[in-house]
Amino acid sequence: MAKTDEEWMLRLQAGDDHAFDHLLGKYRAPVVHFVYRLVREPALAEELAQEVFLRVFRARRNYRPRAKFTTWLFRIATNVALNALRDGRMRRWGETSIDAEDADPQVAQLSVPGPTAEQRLLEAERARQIRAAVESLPEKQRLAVLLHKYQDLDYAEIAPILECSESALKSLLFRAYEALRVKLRPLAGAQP
Amino acid sequence: MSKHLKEAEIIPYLDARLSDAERQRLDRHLADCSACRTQMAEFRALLGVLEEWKAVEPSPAFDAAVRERLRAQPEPLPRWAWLRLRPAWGAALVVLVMVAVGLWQLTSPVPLQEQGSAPERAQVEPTVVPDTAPETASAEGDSLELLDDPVLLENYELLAEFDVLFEPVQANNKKDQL
Ligand SMILES: [Zn+2]
Repeated sequence: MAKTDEEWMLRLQAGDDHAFDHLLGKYRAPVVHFVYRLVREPALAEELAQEVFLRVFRARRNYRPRAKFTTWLFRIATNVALNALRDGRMRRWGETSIDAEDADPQVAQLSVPGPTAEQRLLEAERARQIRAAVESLPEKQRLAVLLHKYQDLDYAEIAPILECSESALKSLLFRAYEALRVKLRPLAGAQP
Repeated sequence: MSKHLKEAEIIPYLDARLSDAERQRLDRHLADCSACRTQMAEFRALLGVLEEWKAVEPSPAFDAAVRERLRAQPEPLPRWAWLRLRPAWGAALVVLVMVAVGLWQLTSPVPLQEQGSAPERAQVEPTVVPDTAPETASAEGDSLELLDDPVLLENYELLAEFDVLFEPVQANNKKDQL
């Protein structure tokens, strides 16, 4: 019988180290994806995602299965990523590492030899426009889109992360997608 | 013609999260209204376009790095550790109050029976603040336990769960030196 995330978290709490491996295995990619789309610097995203799991581990004894594990996890991830953005860690990385544009995986792929370099360039440009459109949203709308569209969480999981009601979340999502619909209309008309 | 689609039902419609009855009502409207139909088609196209933005994948060394950082950075004393002292503090406070009341009763000229009478107690005790729910607590359903239950907002254990959000984690020193 498969265990729920909450049950795994309780096993971790009880000292079962294997439970942490399980949660890492299941959520390392979702957390990296989420943080990457917020900070959009791959190495920083990786470092911050590790920090998220550090906090999960350290908070294990205080975890109570009242909130869904995903709500708890992505709330921590949101906080870690936003703190990094606000305390200027982004800028520090910007100065010391390669330019974020070059670090974009879809741009980085350009150097990989392939049959359709031109196609890749077009895809990278479209991805850049999508990213720019999502980044132009107010913070709460941006988080709502990342959690809904890219992490595929349901309303009941997202609303507590954003500290709003489910009905407020539905309006928030509508406003976010409405803004994106207008901004990205040129892309929707010309699928690659 | 029926009413145009409402903001809060468009995304749930696309997510297939409406009840059958609601969905059928929207479907009937969409069959009649080209404006809403166009809007819905554009939302659907948008959700497809958004798929094109790919994220990076974790490095193969991700788990090992987490383990290494757990080893390298000693677990800080939790900020909420003082809360564990609360029972002891509480007990001390109770004893203190009992002693104070006892002393007061010994020195008080008023007979004990009268102290217990309702009108006097009302004067001694502060006005009880009505236990109203904060405005954020809405009656929207049980899925939002965290926000809907005002008692939880006073619950230190729950707050402690979220304390980890604010606990400073040392920046990765190796990265600092790069
Ligand atoms: Zn209509």
